[in-house]
Order: sequence, then structure tokens, then C-alpha cells
Amino acid sequence: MNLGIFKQNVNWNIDQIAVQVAQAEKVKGRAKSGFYKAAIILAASVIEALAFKLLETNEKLEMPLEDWDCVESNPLPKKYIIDGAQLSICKRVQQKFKLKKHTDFKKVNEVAQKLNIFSKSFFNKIEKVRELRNKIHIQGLNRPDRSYTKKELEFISSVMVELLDKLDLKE
Amino acid sequence: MEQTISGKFRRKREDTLVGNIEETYKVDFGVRGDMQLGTYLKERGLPSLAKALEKVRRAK
Repeated sequence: MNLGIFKQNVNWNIDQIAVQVAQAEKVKGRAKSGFYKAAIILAASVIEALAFKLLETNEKLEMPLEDWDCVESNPLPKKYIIDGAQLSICKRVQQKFKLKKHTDFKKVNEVAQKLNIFSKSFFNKIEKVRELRNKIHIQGLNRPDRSYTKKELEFISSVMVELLDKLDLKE
Repeated sequence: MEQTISGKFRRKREDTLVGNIEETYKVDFGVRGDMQLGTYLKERGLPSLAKALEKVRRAK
């Protein structure tokens, strides 16, 4: 990933967070919530990008092994179907984690913790950010989702500062 | 510092002004345009966001 473009995009998103904050400041009470939600989602997406970048810069480390996977699966004859499941013979392999453009946020956090790039306490914080970010998936919410505050945005921003301390963005 | 086409050097602006953001995104922050964005955020109770902004802007 080109670092210049990456930084431009991070910059633009931070501008957008500031714009949302300004809008939130101009309204009263609950009306602030929508603007803070937008700001929180933007900030969380910056954090996801920074975490990815941090892991990418540590790609030379010995990557952890993934879960066991079955490859070259050869189904056994139909008489071996048990409870609707067909048995097969396969090769079980365990591959090393490889960072891809679309590796999800959770996986990036887990691998970074395994590699001790994230401490346990930082991992807990960034997972809280991920959970806040996931509120973008409205279908997964089991209660009315209305209250987003400056306090949450400030928490996410503090996580962003910690990540930036770990990351060298200098070109 | 960065070199311009004409060979002169100019200082890179690290401190974004509220006025520039207002103009770029057609919004009104309700403060003086010459206020630094970091100061605006700090005053609005977002010191960490101001710090993050500063860190990103200064990483040149």
C-alpha cells in the first residue's frame, strides 16, 4: 500500500471527524448523537486502517499458525453418510497467517496480540472500538441505538493516539 | 520544508486552520477561521482527537 495515499486518506477521514464534531456542537441534546455516531464510525475506520498498517510493517515477524484446514477432500461412498453428513478423507494442514487487503479487523487485532504488538490491555481497548464500529450493522442490534457521545469519541481517539505512537508514518 | 518547482523552499503547514476545513467542506464551525483545528478540538473536550490529528499531520 502506498504510504502517501494511505496518509492522505487518514487525513481526509480526520477532517471528516472534525466536520461531524462541529455539526454536533451546533445542536442540542439528543440531536448530537447522530453526528457523534458518524464521527465514531469514521474514527473506528481510521483505527482499523492504522492497526492493519502496523501489522503490515511487522510482516517479517514469524506469523502464527491458522486453524487446521481440510484440503484435497475425497468424499467416501454414500453409505458413509452419517446423520446427513458425508464422510470424507482429506489432508489436514495448518498454514501460517498471511495478511491480505481484506483481512478483517478482528483477525488483525488477534494476530497483533499473538505477536505481542498489542498488549492484552490494548487489545481489549481496540476490541471495544471494533464493537462500537460494528454498530454500523443495524441488523445486529437488539435495542434502540440512539446514544453516541463525545466521551466515546474521545475514548476512540485515545486508542488512535496509542496506535500512532506504535506506528511510524514518516515517509 | 519542501522544494517548490521554482526551487524555493516553503514550510509545510502542519496546523490545519478551521477556515480551510470550512471552505473545503462548506461547513461553519462557528469560530474564527484562523483558529487551529487542534485547538478547536481540544476546546471542545476532544484532546486525544487533537493529538491524533497533530501526530498524523506531523508525520511527513
